[in-house]
Amino acid sequence: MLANDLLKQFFPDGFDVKTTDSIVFGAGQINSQEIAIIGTCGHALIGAKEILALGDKFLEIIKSKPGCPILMLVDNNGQRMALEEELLGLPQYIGHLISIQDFARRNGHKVISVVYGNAVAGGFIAFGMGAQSRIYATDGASPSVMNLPAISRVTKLPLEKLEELGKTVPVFAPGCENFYKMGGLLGIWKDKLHERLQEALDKYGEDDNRAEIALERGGRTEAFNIINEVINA
Amino acid sequence: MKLKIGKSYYEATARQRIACILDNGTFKEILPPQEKKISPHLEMFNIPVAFDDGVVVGEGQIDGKPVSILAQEGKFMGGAFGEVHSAKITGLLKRSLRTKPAAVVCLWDSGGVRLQEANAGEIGVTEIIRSIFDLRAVNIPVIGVVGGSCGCFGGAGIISACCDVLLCSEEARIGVSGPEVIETTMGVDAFDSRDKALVWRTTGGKNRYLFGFVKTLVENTPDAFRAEIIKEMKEPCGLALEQIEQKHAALKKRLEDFSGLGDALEIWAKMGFEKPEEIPGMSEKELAEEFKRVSGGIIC
Amino acid sequence: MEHISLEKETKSPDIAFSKASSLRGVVSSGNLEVLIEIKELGGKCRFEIDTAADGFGKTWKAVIDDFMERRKPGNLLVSINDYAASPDVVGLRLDQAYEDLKGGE
Repeated sequence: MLANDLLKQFFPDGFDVKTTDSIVFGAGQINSQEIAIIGTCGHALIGAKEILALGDKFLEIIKSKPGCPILMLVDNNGQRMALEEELLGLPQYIGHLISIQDFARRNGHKVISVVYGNAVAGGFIAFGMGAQSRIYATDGASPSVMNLPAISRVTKLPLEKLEELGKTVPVFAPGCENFYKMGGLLGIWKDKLHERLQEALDKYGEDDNRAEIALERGGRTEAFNIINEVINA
Repeated sequence: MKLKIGKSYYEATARQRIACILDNGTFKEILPPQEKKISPHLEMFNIPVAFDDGVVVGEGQIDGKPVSILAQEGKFMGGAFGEVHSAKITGLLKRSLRTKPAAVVCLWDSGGVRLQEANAGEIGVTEIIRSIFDLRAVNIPVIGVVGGSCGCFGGAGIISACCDVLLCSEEARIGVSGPEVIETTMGVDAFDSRDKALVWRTTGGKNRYLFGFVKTLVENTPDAFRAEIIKEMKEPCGLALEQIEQKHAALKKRLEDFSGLGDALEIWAKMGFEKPEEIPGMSEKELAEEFKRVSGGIIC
Repeated sequence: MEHISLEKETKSPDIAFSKASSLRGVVSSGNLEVLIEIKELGGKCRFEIDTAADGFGKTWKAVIDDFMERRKPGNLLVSINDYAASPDVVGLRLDQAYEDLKGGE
């Protein structure tokens, strides 16, 4: 269940949202503008079923509400890890869901992602970061690629060393602050969520400026310059 | 630098693959190794860098037509996406919006995001995805090729699914969660990653082909890939809402028809193959013919 | 990681090469990449080695002395990223890059 509390903070003027399994769908009012709401809750695992349900909602908005902004509420524990998902071609399902979000974004819908729970690896790419550049998080949210103990197991680096390194650089460890510095999050919203959302809609842009932001914030010192060197070679 | 060591695409390095696929002598590398654009992050992990950070990007010609081309070096850190690696690819894709080549050819060979640079790689992957859709929106074909030792997993698997088309060898494996990851997380009963036949039945080129994820199964030689790429360059591309809706319906049907079956062999049987156990042994041509006979070549 | 810098000189160095640079090898475990570039170094050769295997300074000197002795080159900047390759493999990559520079394959 997506906390009513959170929705009230985003939409003090009112909202109407339904949750089915872990899929959240509805709309909210902000300064007399309708905002479509599509999201997941309960630290959902993103598998084929969830992808098709989320895709349904996007397609519905694209077809029935042209120009309506879309707020994506992100809370997942990553992609569903199972032989069956891989057997049926999970990469294709994820790529397809991203293509729908990308289509919406490219065809008149302002699409804003807000991570309010977890946002992990393939789940975050599938829903939240794969087709967006205007991505935010609420205080207490937890975006990550992989937790440190798992990174330690896979890379065979001692956990203590990773914890130590993780304190000095934002490049690999989980957390809002790190994703913020790396350009993955445009902002972290501690309060006044409906004001933040209105601001985000007002200053919304179509470009992908995350590498430039990462340079300004010092999280990625090379990416922006390299992108430009290749463009201008 | 032509291939000397046999003619296996699987065994070749990134530069060898590019040299064989492009028209002779037409390759101009962008940010070549002499520029030494290395990873700023690996040193603190005591890992040696590569002068090209594991990916080669540049321009050339195929069949006389201008193309952009990238090739990941699977032998360096599993072809994984790091900050510099991803930025080179994004740069090439964005450059291609200006140069408008006849095609952007992507030789993927990657296990996913480089964990030592996890956040940079993850965000970088999505910047690449964005750039791919930018190209598709203006009908510049993005042709994905998979046939190396890393296949495409994690972020690479997702990227491969965003291309206009995928050309793969049967040796290719494409997935999101690798078999070892599933086994470590969910147990060996969930996925025995040492069962090679299982791994290939599940994530290998043939299963991907039969599900319409891969358009053409290609023999494991650079020449064969070059010939298929030339064919693909003549095909229409782009992504309209109608196609998206068709794909949506097809993926829904796939889940309805095939979920709950424990193994690719059962899936193939349900698809209509009389002897699914023979599929792993079939050649690319044999399978294509058999597939056409069984299903009319319908993508499901 | 260890960084080793070496400067070598040989009498009557060979400075005739048919291309400006050559790269051989890949940075995978047990392997290395060798990038050789032609540079105006007054006939000398410079070796800049980054290696993941610490403490093998003597071995590097021996392999490079051997390379210099056999090929007698000049005006080469040799940059190496090494992932614990054996001396044989190091020698092989140096030779491969060198031969490419001379116009072989």
